[in-house]
Amino acid sequence: MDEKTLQEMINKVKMCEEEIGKGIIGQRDIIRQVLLAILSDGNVLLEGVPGLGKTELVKAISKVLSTSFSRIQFTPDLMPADVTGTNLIIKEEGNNVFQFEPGPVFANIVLADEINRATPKTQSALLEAMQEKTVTVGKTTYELPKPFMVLATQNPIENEGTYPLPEAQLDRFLFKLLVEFPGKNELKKIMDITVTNQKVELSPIMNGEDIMAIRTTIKDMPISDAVMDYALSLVVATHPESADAPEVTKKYVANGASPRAAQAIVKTAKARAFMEGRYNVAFEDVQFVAYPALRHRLALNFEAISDGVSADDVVREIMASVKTV
Amino acid sequence: MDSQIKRFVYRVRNRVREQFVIDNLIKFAGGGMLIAVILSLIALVVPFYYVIVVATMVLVASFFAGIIWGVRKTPTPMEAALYADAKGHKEKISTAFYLVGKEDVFAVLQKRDAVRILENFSIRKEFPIRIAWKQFGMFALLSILFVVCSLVDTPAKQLAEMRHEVSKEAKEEIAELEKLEKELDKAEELSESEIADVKEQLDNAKKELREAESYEDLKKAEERITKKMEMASKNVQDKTLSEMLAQAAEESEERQQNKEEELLEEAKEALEKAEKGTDEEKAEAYEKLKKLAAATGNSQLAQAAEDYKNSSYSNDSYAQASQALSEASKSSSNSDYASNSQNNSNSNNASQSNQSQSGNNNSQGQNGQGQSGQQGNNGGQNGQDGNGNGNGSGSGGNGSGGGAGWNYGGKDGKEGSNKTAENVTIPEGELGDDENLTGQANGNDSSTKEKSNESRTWSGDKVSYDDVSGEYKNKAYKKVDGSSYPGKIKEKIRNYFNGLN
Repeated sequence: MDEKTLQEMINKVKMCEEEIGKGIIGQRDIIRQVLLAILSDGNVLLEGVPGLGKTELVKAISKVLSTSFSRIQFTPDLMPADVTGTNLIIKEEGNNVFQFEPGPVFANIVLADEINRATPKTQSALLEAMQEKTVTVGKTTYELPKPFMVLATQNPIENEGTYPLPEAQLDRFLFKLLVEFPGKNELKKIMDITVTNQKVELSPIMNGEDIMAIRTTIKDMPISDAVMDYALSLVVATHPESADAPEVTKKYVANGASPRAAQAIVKTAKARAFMEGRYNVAFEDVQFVAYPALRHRLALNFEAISDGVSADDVVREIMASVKTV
Repeated sequence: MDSQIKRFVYRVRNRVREQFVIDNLIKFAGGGMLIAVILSLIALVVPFYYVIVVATMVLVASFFAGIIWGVRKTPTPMEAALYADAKGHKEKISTAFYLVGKEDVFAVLQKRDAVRILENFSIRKEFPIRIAWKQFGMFALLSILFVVCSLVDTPAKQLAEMRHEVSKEAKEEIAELEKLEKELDKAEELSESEIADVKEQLDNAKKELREAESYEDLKKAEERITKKMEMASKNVQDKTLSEMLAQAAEESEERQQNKEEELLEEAKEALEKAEKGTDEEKAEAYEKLKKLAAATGNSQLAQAAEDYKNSSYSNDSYAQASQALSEASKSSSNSDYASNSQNNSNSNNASQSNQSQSGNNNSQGQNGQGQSGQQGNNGGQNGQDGNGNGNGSGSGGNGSGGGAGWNYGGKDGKEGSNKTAENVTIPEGELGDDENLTGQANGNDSSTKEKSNESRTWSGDKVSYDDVSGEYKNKAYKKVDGSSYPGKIKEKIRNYFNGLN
């Protein structure tokens, strides 16, 4: 690989970002973070009230990346087989045989809408797919298409009849993104696109192979010891029992982030440096990805809830306490 | 590329080190100066002679500590690279330094990217040497305060200086005593008990010298030592030791005189200069007068010196000071004469003592008549006030009289046990002041007299000698108990009074 190839890859990613931005008004950080997760081979949990364009975002990404897309609306009566697929008895040359009928999970990008409405059993059906990129039905394991990623959404305000995701499952999401309500100007632009006959046509920029190639390239991105130390220090500082933990951690955190958090930070920081057109990871890359990588991995205690302290507040304090030099 | 990156990083490191050293130097020097100021402030109220030396040492140490700490805090090459990155280079330099020696595509591209930055990176511009002016200002302020504190003259400083001088002189005296001790060790003809006795006396003398805190104390201690050695030279049987001690006593006395003469000469010279001299010379004259007054225990001269200073070195006070000095000078020359006379009298006493001893032997058969203690023999000879009041008294039987001045008089005047309790006449207490000896030795070889308006006796009464003696002792004990003498001295005084019959 030479510099030219690298630059082409970087340009393609930048073009993708711009193209998706055409269909999704505002939410620039969300678009970038979702792209980072795609380039880092991770899954994303999007949290936000209904109507913020989460589904549109996933559709737009799928279109720009020329990848297959499927959507699963999670409900309490959804069964695991409805997600993974099942063996059907079919007649073949006069004999009854089992034939595997793939579920909606067999797509490059799966949108698991309102994932917290499904029962834990069904939620768990996604675990293997998210982590191993495989689905096991009966005694047979099926490989999912590459690239594969799950984009799950959940509504933070409706708690009745929901099944909050367990920590183990949350940990499998590379990022948890908070989709904010758009500003007035952005809302106007959304109106212009959605309630008029004006249509936004999105062009495919990359394909699955490009994504896989970029993923491989990003893994080779150098990261200096100092930056790596910083990333790891952030993760260590989330543990209240750690000697290096700041006061905020000791006060508000019940359980710190897992090693997957460190992996998530380093992988996505590399992807961010790549998207920025650099050949090295900077402290600011780590700081950019620290919030989405850590916020769902911190288990806050009751004191935090009663004091109205959020995970982002804790992460902010931790970043302030860990020195770069 | 690698060498270029490394060279750059090490240059940044050196620059950062320079800054660290300067920062720490100012910080530590400020700390050191603060300690120096605190010490010099303490020295304004507490006697501390070596304050300047200690403060200087603290300052020098803090300077070195600042440099060492600054060097110790020198960043590692990676930290230096990160410092360079902190100038907005997004860790490109530190990553390039980390990738030195690696040749994969990313490493090469990254290093090339970093080198492009280095080419436009001015270390001097990006890392200017900054001086913490606020801290530097504090340091300067503290320095001024320190200088002012050092220059201000306070009683505590004067006391410290005086104590230092006293201690220096005491050390010289101790050195002489140690010399004598060594000579004693070499003298093979002396018995162990004799050496031990003399050594014990010398040890006591050294202790007294060490404890001396003023010229008066020192002078008293020196005089005591001289007397003790004189006495010891008389009492020891061995001729060599006797001579040795007598010589040491003589030398000690000579040294004291020389010292006083030297101070006198210096004071005279300084006062002459001060007559039409500058303020500094006048101040120096005051210092010299004060020193002489302290060394000789001359309160008149001390007062004249203080008046001289307090009147801003006026002509009148100058004249008074000159007069006081000339009187001191006369008194000194008299004392020279007196001391010579005393030497003679000592030798006379020695022979007299021998005579009296033989006389006593004779008197044993003559109804126990003893020889009464001599009184004021020194005063009689040299004409000074209140010289030695002997307190030995005549005794019968085998008692021997040998009263002498100063604090050994009592010891020698110890009488025999078969003394009769004769009656003595008490002066009329109601009509005049009674004078009672307290037994407290002072600098003029005399006992302090205490006047009292009360008398427990009727005029013209005759009371038992024992009663008078007992009352006298009781008073002495009370005085001693209420005094600030060291324990051993108190014990000695008590023993002395116990020995009186």
